[in-house]
Amino acid sequence: MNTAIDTKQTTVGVLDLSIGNTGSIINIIKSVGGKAERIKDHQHIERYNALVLPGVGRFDHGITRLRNLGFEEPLTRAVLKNKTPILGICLGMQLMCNDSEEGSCPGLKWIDASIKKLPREHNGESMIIPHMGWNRIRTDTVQGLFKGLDNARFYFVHSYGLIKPNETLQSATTTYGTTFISGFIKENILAAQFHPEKSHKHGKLFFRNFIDWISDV
Amino acid sequence: MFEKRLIPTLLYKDRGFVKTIQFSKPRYIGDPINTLKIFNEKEVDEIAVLDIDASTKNRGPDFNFIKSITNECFFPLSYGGGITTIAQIEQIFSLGIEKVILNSSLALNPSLTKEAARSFGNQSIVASIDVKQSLFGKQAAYTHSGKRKINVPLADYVRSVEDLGVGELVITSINREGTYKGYDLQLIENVRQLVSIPIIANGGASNYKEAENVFSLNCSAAAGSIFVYHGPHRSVLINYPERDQLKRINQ
Repeated sequence: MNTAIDTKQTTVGVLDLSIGNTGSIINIIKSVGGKAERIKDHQHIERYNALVLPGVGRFDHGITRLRNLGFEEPLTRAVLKNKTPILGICLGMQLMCNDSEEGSCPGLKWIDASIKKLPREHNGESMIIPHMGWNRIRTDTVQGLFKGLDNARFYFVHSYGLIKPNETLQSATTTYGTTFISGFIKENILAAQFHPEKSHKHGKLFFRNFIDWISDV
Repeated sequence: MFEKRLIPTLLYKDRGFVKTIQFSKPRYIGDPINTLKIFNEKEVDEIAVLDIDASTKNRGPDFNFIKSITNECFFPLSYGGGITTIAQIEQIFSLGIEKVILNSSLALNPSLTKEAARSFGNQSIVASIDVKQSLFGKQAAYTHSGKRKINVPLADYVRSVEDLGVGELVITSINREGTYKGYDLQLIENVRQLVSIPIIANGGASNYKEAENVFSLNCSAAAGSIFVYHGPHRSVLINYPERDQLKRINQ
């Protein structure tokens, strides 16, 4: 008899690479009525019909961890071939790109963009780097992930960012001296440079949007 | 628009939060979970939790405690107290803490800070320097909750800490702490000249409006225990400004 595991449950798999606060993300998803679990084993990736790739720390450290744990191949397959929705947060968003000025390792290359250092100076004004604190996002997108979040404030902690992608992305932007991309949507690939899991009510709304979106696709 | 932050600093001792005066005379102010729940409702910018006994008692972080508080918080939480190894830092991050605060280990083991900043990124590592002014006006850095003096000129120590690659620097005036006499603006200004990373001023504020004083010195954040204080009948009150009040301070 087949102990059938319904592999298409609406449970979000949060990748645990020990480089992000997996616990906080699981908590906030639960707090908005969703279901979420930690993924520590790369073989479990295919069980989930929605994924979150969190990340805190340095680019090379993060991408190396991801590769060493055997995540790259099953993740790329899930995302590019099976079109599984995935949300990258902070470093997670950056790892989805080609590379970063912060490191020397190649990224996942799902997004044609390079991550650059945030400029220490803008129009004669010197900026304190890292960009650490609350800032607002601007977006024209009224549906999906950023619904209701134009001009919402989120918590940012980063020294590097996506300033100019090589492809067109449906995006949200934030200004800190320079204006950079603070979030984007490309088909099933979603991302946020900020930490929605640490952003109070707007963070909760963000995850509520995410849950609603993945149940629609 | 980028905003400057008000950061309540909560001191953890003997399973509760306490207030101190010049780093001594701890008085119980509340249960951690309930205190944080209230701050959660008030949409606080960020909170720093410091275990003030860990280094002096030669023990590491209380991971059960850390786990219990991160479940409550949908806002950035920093933790400091008794951190001496990379493994501890990794565990702290995995529990949902945003940033770790290093104080005693900055002096005892500088390579820990360097390695932590390298592995986790400088934005996750905060240096905390406590400064005491002697009767003759000389200022020096202290570790271990103000018990051990750093015998290096303060300016040199501050610069060497920045060189370790930390992302933020908390400067606490031990003399002013808990006194409500205002932030030590001279100290803050001196430190501002020495480093280029974000500075968080701590110690002495009698009112959250004093944050304006340190913001105008180009501090990124104002911290303190002022948000929790004793009311009449030994009750404990939490006071955190509303969003529109914060907006005015930011201007």
